[in-house]
Amino acid sequence: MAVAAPQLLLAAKRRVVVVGGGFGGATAAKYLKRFDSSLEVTLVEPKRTYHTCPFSNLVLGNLKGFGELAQHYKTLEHKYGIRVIHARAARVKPGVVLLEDGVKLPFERAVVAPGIDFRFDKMAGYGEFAVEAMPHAWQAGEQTSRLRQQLAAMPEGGTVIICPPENPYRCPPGPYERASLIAHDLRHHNPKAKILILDSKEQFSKQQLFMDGWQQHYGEMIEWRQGSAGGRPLELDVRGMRVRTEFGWEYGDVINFIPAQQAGKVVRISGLADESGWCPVHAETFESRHLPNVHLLGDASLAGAMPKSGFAANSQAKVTVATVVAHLRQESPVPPSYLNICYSFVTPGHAISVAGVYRVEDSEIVSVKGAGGVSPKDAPESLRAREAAYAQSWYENITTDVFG
Amino acid sequence: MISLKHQVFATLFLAAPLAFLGEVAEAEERGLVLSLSCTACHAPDDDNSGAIPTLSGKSAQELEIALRQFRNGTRKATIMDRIAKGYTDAEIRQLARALAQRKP
Repeated sequence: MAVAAPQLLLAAKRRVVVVGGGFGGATAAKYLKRFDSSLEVTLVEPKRTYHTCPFSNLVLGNLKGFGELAQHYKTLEHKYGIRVIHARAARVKPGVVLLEDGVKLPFERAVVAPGIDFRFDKMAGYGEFAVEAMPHAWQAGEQTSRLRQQLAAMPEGGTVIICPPENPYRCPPGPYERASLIAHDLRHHNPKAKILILDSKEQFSKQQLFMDGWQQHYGEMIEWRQGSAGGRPLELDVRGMRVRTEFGWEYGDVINFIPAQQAGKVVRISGLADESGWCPVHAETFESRHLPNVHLLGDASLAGAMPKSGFAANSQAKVTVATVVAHLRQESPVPPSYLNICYSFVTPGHAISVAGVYRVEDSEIVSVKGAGGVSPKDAPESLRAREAAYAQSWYENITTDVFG
Repeated sequence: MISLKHQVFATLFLAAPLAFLGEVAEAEERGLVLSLSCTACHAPDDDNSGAIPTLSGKSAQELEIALRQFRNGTRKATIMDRIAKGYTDAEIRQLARALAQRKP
C-alpha cells in the first residue's frame, strides 16, 4: 500500500487532450487551464503557425498582408502551461488519442475540434489536382497567397468566377464578403474587371445587405447568379479554366471554386461522423453521440441552429469546457448559452453583421426568438462605418481570447 | 473561475440553509457560462485601444443597466440591442455579476 499511494496520486492528475488548434480547439485548451490549472492539458495541432480564416478575405482584397493572419501557440504553452504537440492525430478511440507517429495520448476527457475537410468527389471535373489552378482558399494558408497572386496577375478587364459551396459550410457570408473585397481592389487597379458568382444556392447570408452594398459601391461589377437561374456549377474544366452551368460554359481568368465540405478526416475515420459527413453531438455538452467523454465542437459538429464560424467555435469551446471541468469534479453543469456574431466587410469602411443567441430546448440548439438578426437595412453610412471599426476591434480581441 | 462556487459555499456555509446555497452557487455558475461569450468581442483586459469598449472595471450594476437599456432600445447600439434581447432579466443580472468579477 505504501508503494501504491503515490501512483494513485499521479493517476489522479486529470488529463484532457484537445485535438485541433483552431478557434475551437485553442480556446478549449486555454479555458480548461483558466478554469482549473491543475488539469494536464495537451493540445495536438500539426501547424506551428496558424493563419486565421477570419480576415483572410482582406488579404485577397490587398488590404492586409498574409503574414498578419499568423497566430502561434507560444502563449498557450508558456503562459497557460499547455503541452503543445505539433503532430497529426490519426484516430480518437475510447480514452486515447492516437497520433500518426504512433504516440498514444490517454485522456479522461477529450475536446476534438478538427474543422473542415473538402469533398473533392462531389463535382465533375474537380479533384485535389484542381486546387492549384482553381484555388479554394477556404482554409487560410498557401491557398490564400495563391489566390491573391492570381488576382494580382489577372489581365485587364478579366473575369473572376467565385463558386460558393452548398450548405452547410464554414463561414456562410464568407464567399460574398470575398466578392466584395476583391471588387474593392479591382475597382482601383482593374476597373473593367468583372466578378461572377455562380451559386448552387437560391439565397445567401445577409443577402439584401450585400446586394445593396454592391450596388452602392461597385455598380455592376459583381453579378450573382442563383442556382435555378444558371448559377449552379455542373462541371469544371480545369485546363480550359471554365465552369459549366445549365446556361453553358462560363470562362474565368481566375476561378475560386469552393468545394462542398465535411468534418475533418480524423473524426470521420474514428467513426464520429454520420452519413452527412458531420458529427452528431449532445446539444447541452457537445459530447459525441458516438463516443462518450469526447466533446466535439466547432465546424465539424452538427450544432443545430448555430452556423460554422470561428466565433461560434469559440463560444462552444468556452461553454463546453466549463461543463467538462464540472464533470471532472463530479459537479452538475448548468444549462448552456451560446452566441455567434459574424462581421462582413462590403468595403473596408462599410461592414454588416449578423448575431444569434442560442440555447438548448428539447435537446436541440435553437436560436432565441426575438433576438439576433442582421444589421438594419437602409442605415446611414455612419452606422456601416462603426460596424467596420467594430469588426477590426473584434478581430484583435477574439484572436487574443483564443491565442493570447 | 469555476471555483467561485466553492468560494460562495465557504463564505455562506455557516449562515444559510443548504437549499439556498445550492441556488446561489447555481446562479453564479450560470452567470459565468452566460458571460463567457462576451470576451470574443470585448477585450478581456483593461486594453481600451480598440473601438469595442473593454468591460473591465465596470460594476455589476452599470453592466446590468446597460444591458437592460440595450434590450429595451433606450441606449443606442449597432449590435448590442440584437444581442441583449436574447437574455431574461435574471440572466442579465447573473451575467453582469459574473463579468464584474471576471479577472483578465
